[in-house]
Amino acid sequence: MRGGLVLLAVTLLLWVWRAADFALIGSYAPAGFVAIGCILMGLGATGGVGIWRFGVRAWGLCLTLIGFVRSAITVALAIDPSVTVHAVEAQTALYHSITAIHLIAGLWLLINPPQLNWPR
Amino acid sequence: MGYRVAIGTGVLAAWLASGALVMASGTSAKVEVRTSDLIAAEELIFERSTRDQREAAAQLLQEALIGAGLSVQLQSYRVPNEHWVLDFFLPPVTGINVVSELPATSATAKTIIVGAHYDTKQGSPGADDNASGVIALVRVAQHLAALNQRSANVIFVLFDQEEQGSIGSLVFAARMQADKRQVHSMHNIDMIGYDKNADGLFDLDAPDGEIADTYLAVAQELNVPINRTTFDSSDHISFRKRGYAAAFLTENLSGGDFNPNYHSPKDTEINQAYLDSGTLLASAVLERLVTP
Repeated sequence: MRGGLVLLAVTLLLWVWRAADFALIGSYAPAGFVAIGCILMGLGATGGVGIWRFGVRAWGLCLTLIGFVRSAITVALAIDPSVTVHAVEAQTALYHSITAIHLIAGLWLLINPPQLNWPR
Repeated sequence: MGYRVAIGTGVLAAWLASGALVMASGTSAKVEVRTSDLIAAEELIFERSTRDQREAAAQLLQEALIGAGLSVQLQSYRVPNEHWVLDFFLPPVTGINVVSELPATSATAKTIIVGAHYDTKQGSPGADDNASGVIALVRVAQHLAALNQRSANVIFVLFDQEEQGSIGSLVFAARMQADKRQVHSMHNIDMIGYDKNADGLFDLDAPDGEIADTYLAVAQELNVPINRTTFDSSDHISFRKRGYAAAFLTENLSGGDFNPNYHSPKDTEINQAYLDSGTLLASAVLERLVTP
């Protein structure tokens, strides 16, 4: 369970960093996304086990989908790299590592959401 | 060597790469050739699409503009992706505009922007598209820097990532607006190195009024054939989107004299005489616009 919480924290931090990075240059879509994620976690943490599980699973599903899209971009560029130089140059070890984190963490949180120590 | 062209009361001095004598056949034009080239076409004809390639080109162009006696800034930018959805998956877009400002000789806020993009499509060495425009811009810069009097500030910008959606010019135009610069006009030079039918004809997309009138008058005086038309792509559009008057000088695309090597690995040659003619026209027009 602790591993799940670590993955959850890592993915949230990754997205907070991404949100800040893009917000500084005028794009607030990642910030909106991570805000929704934080609201889900916050509601879950205060609203009970059922809401918490729903929130974590929803976050996990989003991460999984993003991981799949990132992978699809990689595959598409391997087939036809002439589409965009920017996307080709984004295919770095860091990009692939983040894709892996999204897929692993996303599936983990979706299948096996961690539980908090709820007060009894 | 240099050529000096007298156009009515104005005087034009510009430099040519070829070193060949260029005679403008207008009635009042007198031409003297100079071969003082700051950048040779051969130096610039290489693929300039990846980050490393574009950085190398930017360095080369910085040196060329410094050679023209100008101070140069490499303005790096980092912007969101073209569509906000891509911000979920890709890093921000980065690039470098090569910028050089030539101040007016008397105090004024009036500013004229001259631009050309230096990046290329993937796989293309980009001779016509757009080493030709870059070379013309450097020569125009050298020419205007040599003038004793200028009644406007002139900013020369070599834009990055035109081929990726005019990103460099969008960033620069936004910056001009944020800085509240009093932009008189923007002049974009893109692809002036191909003229298969040798008619010497250029296409011009310019707003009615002073700018179009100046181009047409100077072209007539220099006997450079010019055809007015409209184009909805290239870097001038970035400025029009911000409400600035912007002109676009290019080869005769509208007349069907289209470069078959466009965006291909075969785009390796520049028609020097045609480039010289376009450079002469641009230099003369800008001289007229900045001369008190």
